[in-house]
Amino acid sequence: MAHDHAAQPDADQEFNPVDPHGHHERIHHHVYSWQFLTVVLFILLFFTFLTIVVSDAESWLVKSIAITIPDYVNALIAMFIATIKATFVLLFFMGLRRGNPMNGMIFLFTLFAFAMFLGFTALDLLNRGHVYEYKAHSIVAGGTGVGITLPSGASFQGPITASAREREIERLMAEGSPDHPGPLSREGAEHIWELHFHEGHEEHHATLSTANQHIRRTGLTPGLFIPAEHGDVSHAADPEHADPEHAEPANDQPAANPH
Amino acid sequence: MTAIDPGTAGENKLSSNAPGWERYKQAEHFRTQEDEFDACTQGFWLFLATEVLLFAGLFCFYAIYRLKYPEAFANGSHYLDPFYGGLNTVVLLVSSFTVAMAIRCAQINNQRWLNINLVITLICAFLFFFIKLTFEYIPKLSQGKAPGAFFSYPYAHDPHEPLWWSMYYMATGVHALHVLIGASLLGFVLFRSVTKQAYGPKHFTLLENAGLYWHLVDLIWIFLFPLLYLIH
Repeated sequence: MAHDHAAQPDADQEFNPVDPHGHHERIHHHVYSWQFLTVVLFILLFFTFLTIVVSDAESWLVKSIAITIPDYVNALIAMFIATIKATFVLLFFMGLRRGNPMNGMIFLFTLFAFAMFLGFTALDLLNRGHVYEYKAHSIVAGGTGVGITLPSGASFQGPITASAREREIERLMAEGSPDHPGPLSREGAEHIWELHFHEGHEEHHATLSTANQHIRRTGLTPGLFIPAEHGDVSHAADPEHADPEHAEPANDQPAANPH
Repeated sequence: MTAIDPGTAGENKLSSNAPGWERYKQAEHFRTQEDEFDACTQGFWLFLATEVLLFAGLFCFYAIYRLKYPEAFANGSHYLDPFYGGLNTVVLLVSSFTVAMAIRCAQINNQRWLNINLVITLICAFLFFFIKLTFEYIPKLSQGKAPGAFFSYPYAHDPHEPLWWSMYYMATGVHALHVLIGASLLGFVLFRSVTKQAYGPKHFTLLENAGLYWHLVDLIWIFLFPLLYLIH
C-alpha cells in the first residue's frame, strides 16, 4: 500500500514513486485579484448597457436621419455583444483562462455541436422555400414534380427519369454512338436507347429482391409505384392526376426575411 | 504543498477543531487533492456541456419559429419591458461576480467574506425570482398572455402569438428552474461553509462546481435577454 511508502524516508529525491511525472508542481488554482474581478464585472455591465442602447439604434436611425439598415443587423449586433459577454464570463469567472485547458476543449466542442444543430436546422429552414416551390406542382407517376429546369435553361415536363431518357436520345441524335455515328434520326436514336435499355435486363430482374414489396405503404402519391410508360408524359401537367392532399397551400410559404 | 502525502485518504490526523477544508482528505483513488479537484471539475464541465445542449434545443425552437413567424415574435418582444429584463441581467451578473469572489475568498482563506459573498449571491437569486414573478410572469399571465392553448389575451395582433408565449415561458421557465437549482446548491454550500468552514485554499471543489453551475445560469441569460427583450 502507498501508506508504507510515506512511512519510510524517501532516499531518492530525484524520483518520487508516488508522483513519477511531477504533476504536483503544476499550478492550479489561479487567484485573481478582487480589482481584476471587479473590472470584469464592470465590463460586463457596460456591455449590458450597450446592448440595450444599441437595440433602439435601428428605429432611431430611421426617425432622425432616415437611414434604414437591414433588419437582421439588430439581431447580429445583439448576438455579437452577448458573445463578448459570454466570453468574459467563461474566461475569467469560470476560470477557463487559467484553468485546465481540457475544460475549454469540452466547452468548445459543445459549441461545435450547438453550431451543427443550429446550422443544419437553418439549412433546412432557409431552403425550404425552394422545396415548397418544387413540391407545389402536381406529383406524377415516376416520382417527381411537374418537371425540371436544366442549368442551360431548357425545361422538361414529366418525370425526371423520362427527362433523363429524353436528354440521352437527343444526345444520341446529335452525336450517335460508337457503333452508329451520328447524326441519327429520332427513330434510330430511340432504337439504340432500346438496345441499351434491354441489355442484361432479364438476368438483372431475376436477381432483384422482392423483399418488403408486399408491405402496405400509406401516405404516398397514388400510382407512384406503377411504372410509368416511357415517354408518356401527357398527363404530367394534368391537374386531374394531382393529389390535392400533396399540393401545398399557397399561404404556407415561409417568410424568409426575419423582421 | 511540495511533498505529496500519500495514502492518508480518509484519515484524519488533525484535531477536530481544525476547519473542514484542512481536515478534508481526497478519496483513496486520487493521488492528490488537486487531482481530485481536476477530475471533479472536469466531470462537471461535461455536465455543463449537456446543459448547454439542453438549452440549444430551446434556442433552436426560437430560431425555427422566429424564421417562420417573425411578425408574431416582433409583437411578442414588444410586450416585454427591457427594463426588467436588463435589471435581471444586472442582478445575475452581480451574482456571478460574487460567486467568483466567493471562490477567490476560499482560495485565500477569507472565511468571513466567503460567506458574505454567498449570501449576496442568494439575495440576487431571490431578487431575480422576485422581479421575474412580480413584473413579468404574474401580470402577463393575468392578462391572458399564456402559452399555447391557455392563451386568452383578446388584443393579439398576430395569430401566432400563443406560439411566442410558449417559447417565452419554456425558455425562461427552464432557465428559472436552473436559477432555483443553482441557488439551492449555493445554499447548501453556504450551510457547509458556515457550519464546518468546509471550503479553503486546499479544498473548495463543491464551491467551484456550484459556482460553475451558477455562471452557466448567467451565461444562458446573457443570450436569452437580447433574444427575448431586445431584438424586434
